[in-house]
Amino acid sequence: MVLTFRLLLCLFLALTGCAGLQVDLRPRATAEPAPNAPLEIAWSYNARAGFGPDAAQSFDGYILVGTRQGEVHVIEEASGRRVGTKRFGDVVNGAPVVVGRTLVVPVAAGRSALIGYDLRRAQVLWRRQGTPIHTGLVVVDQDVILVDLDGTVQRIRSGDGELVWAYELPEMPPVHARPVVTSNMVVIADEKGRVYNLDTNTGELIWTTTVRGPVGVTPAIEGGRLVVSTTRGRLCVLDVDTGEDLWHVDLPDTTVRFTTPAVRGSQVVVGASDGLLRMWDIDANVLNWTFDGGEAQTAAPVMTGHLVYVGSMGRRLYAIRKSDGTLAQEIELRGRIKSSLAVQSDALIVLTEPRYVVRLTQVNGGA
Amino acid sequence: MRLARICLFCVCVAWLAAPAVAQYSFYFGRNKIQYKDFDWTVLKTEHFDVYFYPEMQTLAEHGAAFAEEAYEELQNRFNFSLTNRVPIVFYSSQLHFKQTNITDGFIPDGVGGFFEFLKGRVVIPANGNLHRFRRVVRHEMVHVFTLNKLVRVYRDYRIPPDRFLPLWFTEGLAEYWSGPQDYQHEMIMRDAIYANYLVPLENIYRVSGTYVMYKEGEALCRFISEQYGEEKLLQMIENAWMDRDFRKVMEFTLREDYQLINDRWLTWLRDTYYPRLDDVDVATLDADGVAVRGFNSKPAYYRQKNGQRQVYFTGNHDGYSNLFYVDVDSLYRPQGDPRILVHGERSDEFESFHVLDSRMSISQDGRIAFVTKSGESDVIHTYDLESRTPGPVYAFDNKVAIYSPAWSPDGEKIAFVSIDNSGFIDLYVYDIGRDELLRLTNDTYDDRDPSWSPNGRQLVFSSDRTALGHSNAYNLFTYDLDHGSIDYLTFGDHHDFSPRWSADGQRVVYISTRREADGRFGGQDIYVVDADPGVEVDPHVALDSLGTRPVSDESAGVPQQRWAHRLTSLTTAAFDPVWTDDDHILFASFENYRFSIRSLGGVDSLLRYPRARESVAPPLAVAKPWEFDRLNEPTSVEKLQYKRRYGLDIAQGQISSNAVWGTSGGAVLAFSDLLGNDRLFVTLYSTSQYTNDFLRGLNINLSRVHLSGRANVGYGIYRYGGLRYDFTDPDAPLEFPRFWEEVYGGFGAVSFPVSMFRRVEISTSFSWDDKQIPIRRINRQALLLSNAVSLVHDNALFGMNGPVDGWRGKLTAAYTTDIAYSNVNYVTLEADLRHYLRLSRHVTFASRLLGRINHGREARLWFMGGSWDLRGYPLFDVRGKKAWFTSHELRFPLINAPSAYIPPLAILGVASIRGALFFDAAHTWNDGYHDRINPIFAGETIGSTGFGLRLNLFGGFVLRYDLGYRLREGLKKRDNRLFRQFFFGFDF
Repeated sequence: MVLTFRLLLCLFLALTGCAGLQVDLRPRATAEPAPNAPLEIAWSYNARAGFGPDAAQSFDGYILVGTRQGEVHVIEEASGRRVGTKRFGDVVNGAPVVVGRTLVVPVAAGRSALIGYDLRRAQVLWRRQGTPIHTGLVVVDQDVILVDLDGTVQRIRSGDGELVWAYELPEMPPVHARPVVTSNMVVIADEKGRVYNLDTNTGELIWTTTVRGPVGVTPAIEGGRLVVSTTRGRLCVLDVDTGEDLWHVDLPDTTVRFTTPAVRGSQVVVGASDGLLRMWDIDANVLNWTFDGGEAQTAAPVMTGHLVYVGSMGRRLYAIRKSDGTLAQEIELRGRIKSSLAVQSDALIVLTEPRYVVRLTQVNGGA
Repeated sequence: MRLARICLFCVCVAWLAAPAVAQYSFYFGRNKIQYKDFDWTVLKTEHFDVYFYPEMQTLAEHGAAFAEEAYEELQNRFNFSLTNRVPIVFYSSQLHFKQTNITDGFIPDGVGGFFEFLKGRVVIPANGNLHRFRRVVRHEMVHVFTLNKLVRVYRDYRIPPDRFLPLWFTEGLAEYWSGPQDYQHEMIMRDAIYANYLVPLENIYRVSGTYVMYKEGEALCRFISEQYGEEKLLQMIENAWMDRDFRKVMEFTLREDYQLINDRWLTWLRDTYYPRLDDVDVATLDADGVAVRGFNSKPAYYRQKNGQRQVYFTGNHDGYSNLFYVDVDSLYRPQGDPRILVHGERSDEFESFHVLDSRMSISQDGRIAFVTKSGESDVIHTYDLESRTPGPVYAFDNKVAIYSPAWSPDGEKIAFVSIDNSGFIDLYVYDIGRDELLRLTNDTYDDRDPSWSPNGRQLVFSSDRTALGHSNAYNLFTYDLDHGSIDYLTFGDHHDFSPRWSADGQRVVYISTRREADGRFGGQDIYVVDADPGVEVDPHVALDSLGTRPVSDESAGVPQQRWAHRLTSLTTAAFDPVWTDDDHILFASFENYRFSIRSLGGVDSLLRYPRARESVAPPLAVAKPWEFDRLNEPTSVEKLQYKRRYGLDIAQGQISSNAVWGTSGGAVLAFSDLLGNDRLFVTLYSTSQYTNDFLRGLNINLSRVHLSGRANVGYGIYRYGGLRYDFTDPDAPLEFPRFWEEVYGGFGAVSFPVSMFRRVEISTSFSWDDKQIPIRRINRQALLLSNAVSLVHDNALFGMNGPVDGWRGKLTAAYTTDIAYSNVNYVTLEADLRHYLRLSRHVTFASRLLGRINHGREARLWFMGGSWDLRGYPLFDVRGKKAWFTSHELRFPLINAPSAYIPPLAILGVASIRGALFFDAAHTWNDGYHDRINPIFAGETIGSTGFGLRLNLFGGFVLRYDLGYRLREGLKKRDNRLFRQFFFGFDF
C-alpha cells in the first residue's frame, strides 16, 4: 500500500513537473571563452516558457536557466539532456546562480522572493519572503547581492539565506538592471538614470551619479570603467572608483535603446533597438564600425577572440568580425533572441523564443 | 451581416431543399455593395505586403514609405521587431474603403482605418490628405506592434491570450505614438475640461469606443510619458502578465495608487488647460443659437425673394442625417423648429451626407448645391429653394468622392473638390451650360472648400500646398481663373480652413487655429482677411513647384501686405463661417460635445475692434516643393499581381447530447482569401449513434461564396442524413415529428443589390431526397428542384433594441417540384412587411404584417410562437400551410441612463431600460380557413397582448421580458392566466 502510494506520488510529481532537482556537482576547470565561427546547432532544449533578459548560467558541465513560468531547468551541457527541473514560484525573471552547491533563485512572482536550494540533496535550504526580485543575482564570495523591486540592495548569505547588509536606494526607484561587481564594489543603475556604487562588504555608498537617461539593462565593467546604456540613445563610460563621466555619446534619435554593452579594453560594442551594432574605441573617441542587422537588438552582444556575437529580434544570430564589423556568419534560429548570450570555450548558449535553449558549437576547422 | 445571411441562406437551402428560403433566415439588412472590380496588386517592401489597385499606385508608394518609416520608429519605441510580414490594404477613398470585404460590417464615415487581428490585416483608406494618411498608417502600425508584443509577453509567461488591454490604452497609445497632438485632440480635451464632461480614469470604460475615449486615452498616455517616463508605456504592456485587472498593472508599473494616478492626471490637465481660460469666450455666450438641438453643421444662408431669411444646414436630430432649414428673423433668431428639406439615408438618391466634410452652396437665384453618396460615388444635387423642386443631379466619371460644391456668381458653374481613383484630391470647375469639367489642380496636395469671388474671376480655397505644408500647415490660396495662377492669401504655420468670400469682394472669412507657445493648438477661431491688398499682381510671374506664386518675390517687386482680423477667441472651435447679407456671420460651433449653428452679429464692429490683428506676409522667396517619401520599383520594393491564397478564419468543433438526437459531433471550418472576397465553408457533422452507422449519419456541406463582384454568388454541395425532428414536414406526426431523411444535392444562390436598400435574391437547389416515416408507413423518394426569387427592401434605422424608424419588407415566390416521381409539387408565396413610425425621438410604433402560403403536394407547414412573433405560445406550437400574422408594438423609454441610479449597470453597458406595449394576432390553416386542428392551433384566430421590458447589454445583446394574456377564439376570449416570456434578441 505504501509502495503504491509512493509510486503514485512519484508518477504524480513526474507528470506535474514537480520532480526534484538533483545535480551531481563536479567542479571543472574553465577555459577562455573563444568559440569561433562557423557555429552549428549542437542541440536545442525546450524549457516550456520564455526567459528573462539574463544569459543562461554555466557550471560544472551544466547549464542553468530560469523561466517566466517559475521553473529552473538544469541541462547537461554536452548532450542537452534535462538533468532536472523544479518550480520555485510563478515567475523567475532574473538569472539564478549557483554558489558552491547552493542554487539561489530570485522569484519575480510567487510566495517567496528568494530561495536557496541544495542541488546535491535536492531540497530547499531556506526561503526569504519579501519584495519580489525581477533582476538577476551577482555572486560575491559565498554570498549573493541583489536588488528587489522596492530598490533595496541586499547581500544575502547563500548558505543560510541570512541578510548581511541592506541598502535602500532613495525614493524606491524601479531597477531593471542586474547589479554588477568589481573589486569590493557593487554598482546598481536604476530607471531614473541614477548609478550607485556600494561597498560589497558593508553596503555603504561610495558614490552616486546620474547618466541622464533611464537605465533598463545591466551595465558592463572592465578595467576600472563602467559602461552604462540608457533607453534614450545615450551611452556613458564612468570611472568605477569615482563615478566621473569619462566618455559618453548621444544619438540624435532619443528613442533608441542600447543593449548591455560588451567591453574589451577600450573597445565597447553595443547593440540597439534601431538594429545597429556599434563598436566604439572610447580611448580614441572613434566609432570604429557599425553593423546593420535590420531588426532590433535587445540581447547583450559578446566578444570572443576576434569575433562579436549578437542576437536579434529578427531570429538571427550574427557573428561579426571585430576588426571591421563585417559579417562572418549568420544563423537563423526558431525565434527572437531577447536574452543575453552565454559564451563557453567552444560554444555559445542562446535563449530564443518561444522557449528554447540552444547550444551552438564550433564546426571543426572553424576560425 | 451579409455573410451571415448568405451562409445561413446556403445552409438552409441545402437542408430544407424546399422551399428554397428558410422561415427564420436573417433575411433583412442593408447591402454592402462591391461597385468596383479592384485589380489588386501587391508591393512587397522590407516588412510589409501592400495591397492596392493600379490607379492609386503613387498613393500606395507613399503609404508603403509611411509604413516602413513607422516600423523604424516603432521598433525603437517597442524595443521589438515583427517576425512576420504584415499585410496592409490601401483604398484610395472612403467610398472604396466602404466596399471592403475584410470586415463584414458597414463602415461609417469617419473611420480612418482598422487593424483586423485574426489575420493581422491593416486596412486604410486615403482621404486626399497625405498627412492624415500618414498618421493613420502610424496609428495602425502601433496597433500591430502592440498586439504582437502583447501576444509575445503572454506566450513568454505561458498565459492564455484571453486578456486584452483596455481600449482607452491601446487607442490612446496609437494616437500618442502616431504623431504630436493635433488640433482636434486639443479641441476635444479643452471642451471636455471646460464643459466638465471629462471622464476620470476610473470611469473611462463608460465612454469606451467613443471619440472622447480616443482623445482622453491619448492625453493619458501623454501624461504618463511626461510625468512617469516614456518607457512606462511599454512597461505597461510588458507587465500585462501580472494581473487580469489593468488597474493593478498600472499601479505596479507606475508605482502609485490608481486613485492617485487619476488625481495626478486631472491635476495635470487642469494645469495644462485652465491657464488658457484667460481671455477666451464660449460660443454659447458670444453667438446666438440658430440650430442647437442634435447635430448641426455646414450652414448656408439664403434670403428668399419674399424677404424671408433662411438658414440651411446638414444635421442629424433623430438618427438619420438630413438637409434642414430654419426661418430666421432679422436678428437671426430661429422662427420655429428646423424642418427637413431633404431626407437622407433612406433612399438610393441620398444614401448619406458627408456631414463633417462637405459644405453646401446657394446660388443667387436660390438653388442649393449639396453632395450625397449615391451608388458607387458622390453626386452633386441641386434644389430650387424658391419653387421647392429638385434640380439636376451632376455625377462625373472617375470622380469618386466630391466635397463642397460652390456656385459661381452667375450660377452657371460649380466649383468643387474631388478625389478620383488615384486617391488625391483636386480642384475642379464644372460648366453646366457646356457640360464641361475643368480640372484646376493636379498634384498630391490637399485642396479644400473652394469659394468664388463675387466677380467670378477667382476662387479661394484652403490647401496644404503652402511652403510650410510639410509640417501640416494649411493656408488660403486664390486661383485666378483667367490666368491659372495660384497666389497666397494667408501664410503661416496655421490651419486655415473654410474660406468664404464676402459679397463685396473685399474680405474673406475663414477659420484658423495655431500652435501656442507650448506646441499645443489653441482655439479654432473666426478670422477675416483682406482679399485685396491694394496692389496689382503681375499675373505672368512664374509659378514655383508648389504651383503657387510667391507674392513678394523679386520679379513681383512689390511687397504685399494684408491684414487678418481675429473676430473670436473661442475655448473650442468654430467651423464653416458664412457671410449673411446684413452684418452677421453664421457658423457651426463645437461646444459641450455638441455641434450647433450660431450667428455672430456686429461684424462691422468686430472688424473695427478685432480680438487680434496680424499682418499677412507671404513667403519672400520661391518655396521649395515638399513631398513625402515613396517606395517604388525597382530599388526598394517588388511589385506582384495579387494571387488568391486561402487562410483559415475559423475552426470550431462541437459535440452535443440531448434526449431527441442522442450524442452527435461536428466541426466547422471557414477559409477566405486575404481580401475576404472568396470564402469557403466546410461543415462536417455526424448524427450516427453507432460506429457502423457512421456513414449513414454523416452530414457534409461544402460551399463557396464570392463577394468580389456586385452580385454575391454562393454555391455548394451537401449530403445530409439521419434522424430529423422537423415541425414543418406535413407527413410527420404532429406530436412528435421525428423521421429519417437522407438528402444530397447541390445549390446555388445569387444576391444582387439594386442599391444599398434593395436587392434581388435568386436561389436554386437540386437534390435527391429519401424520406422514411415508419410509423405512418411513408417511404417517399423524390428528385427535388426548388427555385426561389425574393425582393428585399430595408432602410430601417436601428436603435439600441431594434429598429426605430423606416421600413423593411420582403416578398418571396418559390416553386418546388419532384421532377422524377411528382411526389412533391408546391408553390410558396410570402410577404413580410415591417414599418416603424417614429412618434417622437424616443417613442416608436412598430407594425408587422406577414402572409405565407405553401400550396400543393407535400407543401410544408409554417410555424409560429415564441418571442420572435406570436408571443404567449410556445415556439413551433402554431402551425399551418397557410398563415397570416400581425404584430403591433409601442416602444418607449422607461429609464434613461439607469446606471446613474444603479452604477453597476454601467459596467454591463446598459444605456437605457425601455418598455413595450404589444398586440399580436395570427391565424394558420391547411385547407379550409376554419378547419380546426387543435394540436397546432390551426383554423383559429389567436393572439396575445401585454407589456414588455427591454434591456441592451454591452450595446449588442438585448434581453426581452414579456408578460401578457393570450387571446383565443377569434380574439374574443382572454386566458385568465398571465404568461411570462423571457428571451434575447432584437425587436422585430
